[in-house]
Amino acid sequence: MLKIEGIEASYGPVKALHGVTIEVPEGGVVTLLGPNGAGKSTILRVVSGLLRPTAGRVEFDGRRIDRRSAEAIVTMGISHVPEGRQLFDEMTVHENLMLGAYTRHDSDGIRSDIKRLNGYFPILEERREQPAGSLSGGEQQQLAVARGLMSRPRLLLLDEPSLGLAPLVSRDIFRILRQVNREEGITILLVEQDATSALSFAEYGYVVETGRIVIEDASDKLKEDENVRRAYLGY
Amino acid sequence: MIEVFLAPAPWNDPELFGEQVISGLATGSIYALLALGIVLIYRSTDVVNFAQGEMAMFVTFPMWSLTLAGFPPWTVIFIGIALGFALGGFIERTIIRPVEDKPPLSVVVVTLGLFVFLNSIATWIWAQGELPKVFSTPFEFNSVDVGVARVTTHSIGILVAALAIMGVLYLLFNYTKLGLGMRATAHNPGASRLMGINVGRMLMLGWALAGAVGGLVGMLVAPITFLFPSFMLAVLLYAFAAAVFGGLDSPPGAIVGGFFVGVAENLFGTYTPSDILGPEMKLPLTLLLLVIVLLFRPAGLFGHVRTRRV
Amino acid sequence: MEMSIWLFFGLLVACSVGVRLQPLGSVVQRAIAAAVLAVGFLVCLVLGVGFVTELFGVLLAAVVANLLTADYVPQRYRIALAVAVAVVFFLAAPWLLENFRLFQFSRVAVWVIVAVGLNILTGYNGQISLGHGAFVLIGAYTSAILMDDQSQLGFVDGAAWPFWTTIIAAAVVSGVAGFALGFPALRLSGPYLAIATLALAISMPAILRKYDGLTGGAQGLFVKRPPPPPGLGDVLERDEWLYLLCVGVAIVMMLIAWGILRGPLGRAFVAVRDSEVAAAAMGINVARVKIAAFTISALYAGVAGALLTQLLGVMTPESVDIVTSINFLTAIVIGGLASLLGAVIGAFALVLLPSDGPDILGEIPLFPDNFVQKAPGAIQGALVILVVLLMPFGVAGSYHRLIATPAGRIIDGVKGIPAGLRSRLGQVREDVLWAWEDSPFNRRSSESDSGEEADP
Repeated sequence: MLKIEGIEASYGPVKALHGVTIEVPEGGVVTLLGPNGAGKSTILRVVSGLLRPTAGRVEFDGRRIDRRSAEAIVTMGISHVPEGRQLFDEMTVHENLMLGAYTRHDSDGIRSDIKRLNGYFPILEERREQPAGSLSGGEQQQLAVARGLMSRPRLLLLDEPSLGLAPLVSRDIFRILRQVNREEGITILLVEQDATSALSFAEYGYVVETGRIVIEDASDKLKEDENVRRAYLGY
Repeated sequence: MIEVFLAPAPWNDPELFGEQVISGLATGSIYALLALGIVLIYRSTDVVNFAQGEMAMFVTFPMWSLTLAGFPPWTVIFIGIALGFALGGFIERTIIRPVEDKPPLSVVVVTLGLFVFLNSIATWIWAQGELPKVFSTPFEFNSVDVGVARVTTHSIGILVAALAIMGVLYLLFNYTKLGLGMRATAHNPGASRLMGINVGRMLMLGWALAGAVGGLVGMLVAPITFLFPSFMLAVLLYAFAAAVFGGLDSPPGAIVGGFFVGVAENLFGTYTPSDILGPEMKLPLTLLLLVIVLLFRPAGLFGHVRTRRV
Repeated sequence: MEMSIWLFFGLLVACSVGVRLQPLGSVVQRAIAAAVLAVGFLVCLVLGVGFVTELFGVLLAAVVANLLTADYVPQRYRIALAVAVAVVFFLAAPWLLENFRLFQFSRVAVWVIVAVGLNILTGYNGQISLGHGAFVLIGAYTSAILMDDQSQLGFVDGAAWPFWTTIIAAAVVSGVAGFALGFPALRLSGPYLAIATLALAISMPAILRKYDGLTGGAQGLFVKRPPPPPGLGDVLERDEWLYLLCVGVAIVMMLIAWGILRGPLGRAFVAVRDSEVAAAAMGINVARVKIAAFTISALYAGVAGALLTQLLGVMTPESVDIVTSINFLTAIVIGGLASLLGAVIGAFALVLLPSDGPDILGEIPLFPDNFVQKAPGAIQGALVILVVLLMPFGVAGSYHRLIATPAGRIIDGVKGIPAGLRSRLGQVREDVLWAWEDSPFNRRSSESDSGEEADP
């Protein structure tokens, strides 16, 4: 479904990616692991069109997307839940969800989607008219995921959804994400620091270090890998 | 104490007081509208637009030409608003976008350059021959009794027009998808792109709306002050005071600020001791009040202090 | 503009560019270039096409200077040479320039002092001010009031102060005003500070007009312009003496600024500008440093104001208007923030752009005949916008970068433009293709889209 081939990208004079190749199959869950500053978030930024690669190509459903605008990419069915959530803090929960559906024009569908998402995240219904900035960390993360789903994506890019959350809260979020993946068939590309939860959640994983893929394999195999265990799993 | 006042104290002459307040509200609505333009631009592009008044002037002069050519006043007003809209959008696209990622000071200087540029071009095109020029109003200058005081129909027209514009903008921002997108862009442009919002278009729209509102202000002010290339400068200064008073990122703040500055200006001019203060000092006094307000609310009454990352 | 000014600029550029640049070609090549330019210069001089002649003059001066210095003068002496050229020119100016030019250059010197002070505040310390006109006025009026011998004002003790003591007094009074305003400025950020200082500049003339017992009101105060000191009376006219006074004070003030900025206080200014939190963590008292910047900056403006009073012989509330006040900021931004050279360039631009810009551009046949004369501000405004667009660090910033770049890189850069342009054009073409594929007009792609969606 998503094919990233040999992309290179840089921030000004600093090169962040040196030829990264990744494939995400339809309906699958793939994770990117790696230390801070390895370029994981940069990969997501390239896919969602926030950053233009200087070389390589990105294909979604067989169509090249690496030169398209971020708006066009959302319309094609890719949704990016960014690092640090990036909610519209001063706007209400409801307005945040409506912004998630900005590219859609079917108001009936939007209404029914909000109702459906309230099933996953009941707290959002309760907090509907509160400013997003007043929610707790876990609630904000739920809102970020819900907002990402409002555009009816077929591919969801998630950047560190568990960052700064208590283990119980983050387990809850992963449970909902699994449900979304199984029941609605939404493909997920996940960037995560917490390698243990990421590998138990995803089917396949890539390890990114200094802008390159160093290892890739099925999650079960990665968990066994000596280097991965020592560097990321801590045993 | 009371004798040193320039005018009889308010409780001795309530009619004068009412008149001062009402005419203050009328000029205040002009400040409020122009301040609204400044706020629209500041919210969308983080730029304090020093050329806001000159953009209005640059719309008003061609409309004066249209009036001479025999167009009816209302038609001229609507063409002027459309022209202001186009001018604002054009300026954002051509000279503001290239400096968007430059340091804020550079952008300020670009708007100062634009100020000089527009003023000079207008002088070259229109300010040959007799100045200032008379600009007609669709509201006429009849005197009306509004209970406590007598005011002109033009003042009432300005007040109504200002309230109408504020109403339209309120509806736009709070009840339309476009308004939702513009607000989102103002809060967080990066996240807005991820929502599929065309951020560039929203920024341009912010400038265009500010241009349209500015154009209207120009056409409402010109009948009072007459028309010459720098006729908006004084209004712009009060509008800045109004925008800062209410908070540069708050549209309701701009409106409250505008009315406040308009009334304060009139009262300072009327009720301060004439030998040490008086009407000549109303601008400094208003600005002093503004600075005092800023000391207690550094981002204005309704503005938000931007948190900066270390 | 007179030839001598152009020659001076040419020499200055040539000498200082030579600091890092390699010789521009071999001696023979440079000699040929100089000869060609000299012929062009003479031809244009005979034909009388002013602007082109002056351009040739500048280039000629640059090539000759490079020819004479690049091979023989060691690199580290070239900057000294450039400074020496500048000093000699400024000292010789009274005998080289017409009176009106001399007056302009005196004004440049005064504005240099303001610009250096404002650059300390805005460029080095990051606090924006649109209100420095007010501090200039405070200094100017302090000087004018103290120099009055009771003929206009009745309250100061009868004797007029000697002019040089009023310069010091102006510095102190303005400095105190800046110190007092530094406190409220601590609470205001960016645009709010800009508008608050603008308010100050707007209010100052109204205040000066109102309290006319102290200031002489709207018609202002007249002062006796100081004559040359006794020993120099035979050699110098009054204007020439005032010119040398302004230039001398400007040079001293620049040296002081240079000393402050390379010392611990200067480093603290920059640290606070870059990050207040980080500066505080390093043990810098942020509030004290910011107030110090405001005080020093206002003090500079005060000195400039006192000199302005001597120069004009009369001070009115409109002598420094709001446009001038705003232009100080424009000048340091286009000249180059956080650069002393930038302040000098900005001051020159402030004076020469309105007076000579139209004449120079008027000779370019591109513009309609009366345009440049009737709309000088249009050119000034457009130039300001262009400088900010093309040189984000101001003229001085670009200049520093230029002389820090080896000649080879510049040539590579010029060669690189066609290649860069070609790849940029290729990118545009690709973008257009993608946009087309996305657009609703492209029936083929929209059909295949709906087909895909219907399938699963």
